[in-house]
Amino acid sequence: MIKKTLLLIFFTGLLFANDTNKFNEGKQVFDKWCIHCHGVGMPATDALSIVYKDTEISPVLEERKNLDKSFIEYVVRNGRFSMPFFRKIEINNKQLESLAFYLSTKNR
Amino acid sequence: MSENKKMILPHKVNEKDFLNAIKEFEKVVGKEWVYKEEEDINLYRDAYSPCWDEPQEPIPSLAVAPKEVEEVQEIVKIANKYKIAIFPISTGKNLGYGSSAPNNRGDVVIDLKRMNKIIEVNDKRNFCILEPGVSYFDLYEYCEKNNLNVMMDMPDPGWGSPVGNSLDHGWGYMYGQYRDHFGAHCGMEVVLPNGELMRTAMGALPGSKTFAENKYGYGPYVDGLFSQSNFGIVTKMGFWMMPKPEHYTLAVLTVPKRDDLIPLVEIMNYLEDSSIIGWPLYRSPLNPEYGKAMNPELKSYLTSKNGKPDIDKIQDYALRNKIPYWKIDIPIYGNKDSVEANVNYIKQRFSKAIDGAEIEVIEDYDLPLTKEQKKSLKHKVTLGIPNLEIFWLSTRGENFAPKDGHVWFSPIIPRDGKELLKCQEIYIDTFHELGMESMITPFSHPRTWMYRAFCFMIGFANSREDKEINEKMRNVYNTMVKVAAKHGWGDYRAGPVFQDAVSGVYNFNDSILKRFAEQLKDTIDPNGIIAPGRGGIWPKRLRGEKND
Repeated sequence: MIKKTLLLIFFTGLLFANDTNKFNEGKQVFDKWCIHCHGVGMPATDALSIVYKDTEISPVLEERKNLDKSFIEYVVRNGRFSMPFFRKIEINNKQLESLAFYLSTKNR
Repeated sequence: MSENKKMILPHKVNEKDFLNAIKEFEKVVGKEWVYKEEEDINLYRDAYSPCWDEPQEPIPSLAVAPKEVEEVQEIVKIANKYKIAIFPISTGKNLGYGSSAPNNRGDVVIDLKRMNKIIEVNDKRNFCILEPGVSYFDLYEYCEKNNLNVMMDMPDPGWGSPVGNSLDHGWGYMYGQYRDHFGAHCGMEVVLPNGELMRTAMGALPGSKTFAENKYGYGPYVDGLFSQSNFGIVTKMGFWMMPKPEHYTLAVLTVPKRDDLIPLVEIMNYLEDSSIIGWPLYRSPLNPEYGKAMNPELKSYLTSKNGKPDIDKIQDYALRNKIPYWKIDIPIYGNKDSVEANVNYIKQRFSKAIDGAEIEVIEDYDLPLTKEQKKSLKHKVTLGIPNLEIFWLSTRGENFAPKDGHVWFSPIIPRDGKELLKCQEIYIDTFHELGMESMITPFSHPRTWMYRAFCFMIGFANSREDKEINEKMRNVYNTMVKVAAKHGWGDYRAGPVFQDAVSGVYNFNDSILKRFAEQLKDTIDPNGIIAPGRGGIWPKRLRGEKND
């Protein structure tokens, strides 16, 4: 029993460590590629503030509560309006997963 | 490669050869850095393509991403072996001018993004040497981390590459000699179409210590051949950098009348060409704020004279409402005393020449700037701080529909007030003849980054949803190229779809410039493998087929 509990704590710890790394990597990707348009007062934020006018939804991506992971991944690879899509040499699949993890879990 | 999908092949290359070439590319750079799946290749499409999803849209067949110069040389040799057209990109952010897509469907993109070494930044002799994958953001971060007292002149979007931007004749925002990014480069390393490595100017002297300081070395100056063209793959470039000033001021000049532009430009040219001021940003406050609708009364005057603008009524509207007709932001660099003296001198010059001219200082800083000052700076690029704020241009406003991007039409016109007003008139007439709402008004301003000339740009909207919009836009663009050329104005830059049209009007003496370039092309790239059609230069094997 004790052994099992210890093992569980050990693996949960690993999981947290993994998540922390993922979260931090996601933030780094955001700071390198996204914040210049999606930061406070930046053009994409201004555009989204018109889209989300009269709603509870924040135009600032880092303040969003319910951002969907797959939506983030879709937009990065497909673009949206004047936002272009990003090549894998810029944001690879692992980094994209971390970015989506960061944005979808940050305010949960 | 997805088996069920039809593979895009390089032009005139069979599938068997292409598959063999892919294997050879993989051997050179590693499998990881050869992108061949459709979902990966699609990311090299131009998000702002003027022919999105049409058969002629230039989608590559493959993308290969080398890390070292030697790998680029090997790639070029393989391309020669199979006669595969290859198209180099640096950071691939040339939005509005082609982005990361090649000139033709099926060309193999050579993505140099991984070649991102900052080889040297020297803040005593004020230069840097960079690989193509280095972005303005990267270089800025490096300079700031190392506390270097230099700044790089840059275009609006900071994610671009100094190498790529200068090779496409990009411009920036500081003193004129730095704003001309190709002009501010010094020294090049190029992989030639046969795979040989060449260094130009001082770089040709083994062990030279002034690669990025003397542009010429000895002998012919050949660097120009590698810009807006297809004579080689540039793998290193030197650039001259500007020392950070001790003091920075932003003054704002306003004048009340449309015709004030004529003496204004003359004085501004004097101040610019004497290095008294940096980049003057011309605007008209008659244009509504970002995303807002134009005042309906003013808007009505744009078509109230037989469908064309009533200039007297517009002028009267501006005077009645005390809206200055023109407004110019003027950055001044130096030390505190010299900047103050220059501001006073500028005030005198304009107030003597133009009734009602007013100058106000709106920013006045000692450097280094604090974090807050940097953040609030009106024109970050004038102090070499990279950003992406320019994208306000294409994001959604309150009163215009979202659009997917833009395509720039960018003719060079004289730096002369009268000529600008004439240019407005010609464009307005052209839109009128085309039966479209004019994108140009009698208060449309010139773009002034092009040192010693104006650029009078139009950003045409494109769509990823509606092919008709794109087709119409391409027609208008091509008409505009011809109309501009008739008046002595030619584009400085264009996306792949328009490069034949744009280069086609530079046709003095039976297009001798083009014929000269083609002769060179056939000599140094006999297999025609590097970027066929780039800059309107086609290799012999494709000439006549894609070129008129």
